[in-house]
Amino acid sequence: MFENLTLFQVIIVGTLMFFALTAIIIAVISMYNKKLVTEKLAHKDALVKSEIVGIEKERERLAKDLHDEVGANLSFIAMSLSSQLKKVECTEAKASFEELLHELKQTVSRVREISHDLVPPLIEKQGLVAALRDLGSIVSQGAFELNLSATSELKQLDPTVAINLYRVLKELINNSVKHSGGNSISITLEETATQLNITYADNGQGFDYEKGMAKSSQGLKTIENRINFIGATYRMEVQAGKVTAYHIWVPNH
Amino acid sequence: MTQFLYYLMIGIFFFTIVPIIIGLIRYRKLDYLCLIIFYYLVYSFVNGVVMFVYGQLGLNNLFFYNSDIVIEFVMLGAFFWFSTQFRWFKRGIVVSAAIFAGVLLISLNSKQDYLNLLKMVETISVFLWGLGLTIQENSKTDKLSHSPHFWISAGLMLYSAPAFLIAAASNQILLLPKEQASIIWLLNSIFYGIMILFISIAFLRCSKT
Repeated sequence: MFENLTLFQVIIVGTLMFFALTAIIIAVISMYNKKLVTEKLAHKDALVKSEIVGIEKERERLAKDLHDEVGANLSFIAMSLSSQLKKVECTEAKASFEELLHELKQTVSRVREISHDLVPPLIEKQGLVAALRDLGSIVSQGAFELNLSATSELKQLDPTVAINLYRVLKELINNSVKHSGGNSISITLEETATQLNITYADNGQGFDYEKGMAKSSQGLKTIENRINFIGATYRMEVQAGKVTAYHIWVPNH
Repeated sequence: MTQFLYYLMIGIFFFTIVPIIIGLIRYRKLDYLCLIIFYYLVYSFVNGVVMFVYGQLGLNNLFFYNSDIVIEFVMLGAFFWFSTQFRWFKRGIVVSAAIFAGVLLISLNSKQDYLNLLKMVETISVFLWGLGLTIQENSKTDKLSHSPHFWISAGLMLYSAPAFLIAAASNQILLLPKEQASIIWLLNSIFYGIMILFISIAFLRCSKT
């Protein structure tokens, strides 16, 4: 087959073959690299998802234990104490018992708050908007004002999506209260036929996202992970290098 | 025709100035590995110009051809040596350097004009080092195309593989008709041009931070 080839042809064909072979080797390595990256990302994604699911399950368990066990027991003790208090005749002892009872009732109420904070019951019962309104009333007790505007109560929203959106918005509110230097937050929830559009903004100075991420802020990473987890997308509005607003788009499930 | 091919070859060679200019513009951004390649290009360019002038004056430029093989081996060897922390890779470089030194000694004692056997050892070494570095970069980085060292090693590999065959046949090429020999040297220049292009991309992608 090759006996009719001249030296010139052998060198030309050989050189081109060597070149092509090298190019193929480089291409194969590059493709393998892409495959590795895809696998690595998928693995990371699965880890993040299982972490979020794990956190939510743990929160649920803690909330249930606090509400059903600790809260119930404390309420029972308070009730017993209250009934026993009527039998106490010594005024001094009665006063200190009453003080103790007051502390106990406060503890019961705090336990309930913590339990509700872990898994807001309003989300399940009345939907995301009601839970956010409740959160707004707590925030408004301080120096901040929360303006919530929603086209519907979003009661049909998938519970997993709702709880994750609630946590994302809560984290954003937390950031605004701590770092923005403003005094007003606005959240708009607009439901369309295909998706839910959420806009979050405050009237503060904004924050430096790069610096925030460089400081390995757990909050920002959690926001990103939770948004990815529910299959939503987001965009940050940046003005002069500072993040001033968030836009989140959640596809209808 | 031969004259045209010759000028085309020289034209491709003078393109070496492109990555040198990019390197100069981005000098502060180049890490020390890219700097080794930058100085290698400066050396290649100066050496090429000297060889060109010698050739034009009808003087014997064989010394520059042969010394180029040694200097190229040392500079590229340094690039690959410092680009890796892997012991097996460094051992490979030491082994190829030993073979190169052995062949150099044999070649110096022979009556050969052009040390083509030495060039073969050099090109095959560069190819294997390039392969090693590409595999290493693959495990180090998520985006291979963002790694300047990958671009450099890919460029060196793409040039050294065909250059190996041309070096092996270089003595026979001299016996070929001028036109055919020019086509082969032009092909060599095209592969050199590809390497230059890849190194230019590497310099553009290089960033110390």
